[in-house]
Amino acid sequence: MTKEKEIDKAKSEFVSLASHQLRTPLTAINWYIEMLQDKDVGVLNDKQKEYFLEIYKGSRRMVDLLNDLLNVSRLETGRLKIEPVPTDLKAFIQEVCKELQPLVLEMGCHLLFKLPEKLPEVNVDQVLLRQVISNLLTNAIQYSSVGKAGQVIVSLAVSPKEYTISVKDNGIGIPKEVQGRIFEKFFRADNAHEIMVDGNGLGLYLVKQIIDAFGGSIRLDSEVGKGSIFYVTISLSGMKAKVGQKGLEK
Amino acid sequence: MKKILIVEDEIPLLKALADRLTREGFSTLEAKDGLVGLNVALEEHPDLILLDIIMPGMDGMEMLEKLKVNPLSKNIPVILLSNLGDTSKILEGIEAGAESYLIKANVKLEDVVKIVKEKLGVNIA
Repeated sequence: MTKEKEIDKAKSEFVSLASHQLRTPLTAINWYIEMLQDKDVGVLNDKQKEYFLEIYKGSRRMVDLLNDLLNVSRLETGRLKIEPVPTDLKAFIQEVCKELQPLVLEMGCHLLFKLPEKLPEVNVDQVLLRQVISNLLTNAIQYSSVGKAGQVIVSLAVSPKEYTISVKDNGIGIPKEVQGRIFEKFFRADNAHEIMVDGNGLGLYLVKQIIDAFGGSIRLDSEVGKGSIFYVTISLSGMKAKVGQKGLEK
Repeated sequence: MKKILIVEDEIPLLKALADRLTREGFSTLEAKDGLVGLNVALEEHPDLILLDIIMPGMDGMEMLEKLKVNPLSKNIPVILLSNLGDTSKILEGIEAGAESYLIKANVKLEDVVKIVKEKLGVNIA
């Protein structure tokens, strides 16, 4: 291993260790803020509620950043293992969307589905695919809901050999000249910075890395002012499942 | 009253879980490592165990394995509650007999309560 690779590996391992260690105190902060909002322990006034909400949002952003950093570190140290399990893809996509419901409500976004009625079980790594869908949806919801009610459509199309998940929004769009760079680590388009949407520039990088690890592909159609569509295509035979396992909770 | 054993070495998290579950009407037992947790489980026969993985001494995975080979404790549902999020770790936990695996930093206490009630068949408000 070259000196440069050794340094990179040591750096990734440090990030991984630090991220794990930081998750515990952050969990405590989030859980106690949640308990403070419980009427059984006393009623907060409106100002206190507003301040706690800001602490909570900041802390959640930190958890998201740590999760992304951990995944980047796993990818870069080759520790990312793909563990497919048989999955009802339609139910799975709906479940991931349900988890994002608080963001959907906060942003006043309309989230719609175009999912086929009947689907065979598909072998997927639920943790990794959850991250892909969740990252694409979070972007779509946030960037479509600036100054208006955004609309996001999640679709699923299955052919005999592959399936395609697409996420369409009517948001700010991505300028043509930077479309080739959006999957780079820490890259954020100028118009994303301008509208003050939270982001760390790791979301799409992770999506691309995971899709590459799946042997799949990702494609983008986007126009400034009109919106974006991301298409993720994955082979049905690409992932072999470990049979007899229950679904994963998170 | 349903009895829940919480095995967690991080005191603030242990206290948060115990307080929240007590307010939901459960009685709680607490242990700060796997060895104490295992003894409490065998003596008190809780209805469900919330189990952390990384702990000093006996860790959560070892405690889970010992619970599952003992006829007295093998049917107690166990929910692993950890900040280790690798897929392989999650699958290892499920394969060892845990009912669920939750990543602490990614869930609210409300989610923990919901899944505890679900596993115990208690009405969810």
